[in-house]
Amino acid sequence: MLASCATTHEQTFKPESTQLHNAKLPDFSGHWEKNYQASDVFSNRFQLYVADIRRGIVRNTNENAGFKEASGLDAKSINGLAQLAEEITRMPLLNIKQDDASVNVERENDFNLRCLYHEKQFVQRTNAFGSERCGWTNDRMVFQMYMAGGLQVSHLFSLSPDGTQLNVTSTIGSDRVTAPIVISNYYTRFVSQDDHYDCKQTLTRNKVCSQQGHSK
Amino acid sequence: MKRKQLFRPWLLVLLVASSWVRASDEEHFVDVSIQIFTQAEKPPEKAVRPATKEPTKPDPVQAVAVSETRLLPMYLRYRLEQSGNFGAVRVLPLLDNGADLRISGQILKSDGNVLQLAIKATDSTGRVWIDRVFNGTAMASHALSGDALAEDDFAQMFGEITNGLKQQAQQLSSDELSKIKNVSLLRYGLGLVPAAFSPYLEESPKGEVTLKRMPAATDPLMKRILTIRGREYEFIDVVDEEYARFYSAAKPLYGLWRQSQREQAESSETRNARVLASTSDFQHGSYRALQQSYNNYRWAKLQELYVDELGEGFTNEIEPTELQTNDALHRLTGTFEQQYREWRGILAELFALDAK
Repeated sequence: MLASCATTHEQTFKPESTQLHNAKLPDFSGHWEKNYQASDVFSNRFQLYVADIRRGIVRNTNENAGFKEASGLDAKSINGLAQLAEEITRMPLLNIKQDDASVNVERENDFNLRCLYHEKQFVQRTNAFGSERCGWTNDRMVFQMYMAGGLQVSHLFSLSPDGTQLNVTSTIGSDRVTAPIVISNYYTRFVSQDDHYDCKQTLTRNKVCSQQGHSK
Repeated sequence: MKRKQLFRPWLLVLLVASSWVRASDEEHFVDVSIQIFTQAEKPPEKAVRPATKEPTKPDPVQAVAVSETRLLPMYLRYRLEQSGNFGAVRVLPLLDNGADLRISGQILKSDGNVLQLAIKATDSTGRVWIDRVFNGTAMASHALSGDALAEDDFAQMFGEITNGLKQQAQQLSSDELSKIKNVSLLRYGLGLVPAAFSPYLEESPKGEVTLKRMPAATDPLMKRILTIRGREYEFIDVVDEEYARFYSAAKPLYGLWRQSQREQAESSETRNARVLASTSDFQHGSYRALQQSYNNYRWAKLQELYVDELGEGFTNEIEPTELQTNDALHRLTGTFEQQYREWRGILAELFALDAK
């Protein structure tokens, strides 16, 4: 169940094809709640992560005898990254809206992950504090963010074959730590009260909702 | 078939029209036609992607851009009407060749804080009244009349445009005014029956129009042209009413949009402050440093979302009004174009008969 630790800094992905028009996209739409039983327990994950790093350092040290200052075990940086990773991978509830050209993942207590993937092209955007890339790789949706201070966060969304489970694999890395932390969370669908309403954003009245099938 | 058309009831009105030499009070003022403004630049694409497919949702930036090409000329119309120095002031989708004074405008910049308009006003004789760029900075204003539709954040700038035109209008001698009016009617006739009206006007390469001579006051073709133009203006007034309806529905919304744009400009100052503060003393790679990076990024994304929601809100609210206006304009324009073609055909036939 647990996703394996990544061994490289950059969890780069290569789009299998930028023109997959005929392939039907998986539909992530809906309300999702975290399945804590199926998801990684952060403390366990963290222990495995640290053990992995230690093993890597020992291997490195043996291979490069005499080179004692092997990088990677910067405890402060590892703990800092872990603390942040724990915070940003909580995501207890997700509300996903998707159409032919875009996906919008509303996350509780965090910013929306949005991707306008016209023609399944990868889209890159930047702002004053970093940049992001998003798009489809096969039937998985990926968001990669590069932030100031060497922080990298990516979320990979995939759907189980029967469409009932959503997996979000998050990879959080820093340029001060040799390997990123990978956390895998599972979600199950639920029906929200919001599903009974059609809501529309307006400028004068903010969000205006009406019961489905009824005009306002 | 064409013979039948000649005896349509409205043609009788044409044939009994009064003399085209006019002397009513309205003749002391120039009639103004303002063409819907244009945007200097196409709004930039937000994301880097090839334009291989049309967006499935209306683009808010585009929706605002289209709306302001209608709203700004409508506001200018209000201001010109209020000045009391002009005759009928109309807003129409196309250039009105038969107008006494034609105004066209291009929106060079509009971000809620700054409005930059290139305005050109030319009378029927080809004399340019105004041809310059106007710059305005947003300032809250309250119309003395209490009419909310007459209020605008850029009222001062529109006041400058109105005053510039007013000065020109006030300097016109009665001869000049009458020449403008005669030329505009002849130009209108030229558009309908070129063969009949080309001997009266001469246009220089610069676009200045010289009146070579006047048709006889009893010229039946002139009477017909005068009546047709009257009917066309009746039609244009219906189009103008559609724009007025759009204006009254969209103006308050557009005001809110501008206000939100100003708020965004303020938030970009906050962003700059954040950028400066982000070179913090926190140790590189530490939790505090990473948290700051993430929070800054989150803040930028939330701002982005807020801006997009504003745009979406504007589009959602403006869309029904815009669709209604577009439908009405499309219907009216179609009807008008058909009627205009009929007029041209009939007048050409009448002119041919008269020439025999």
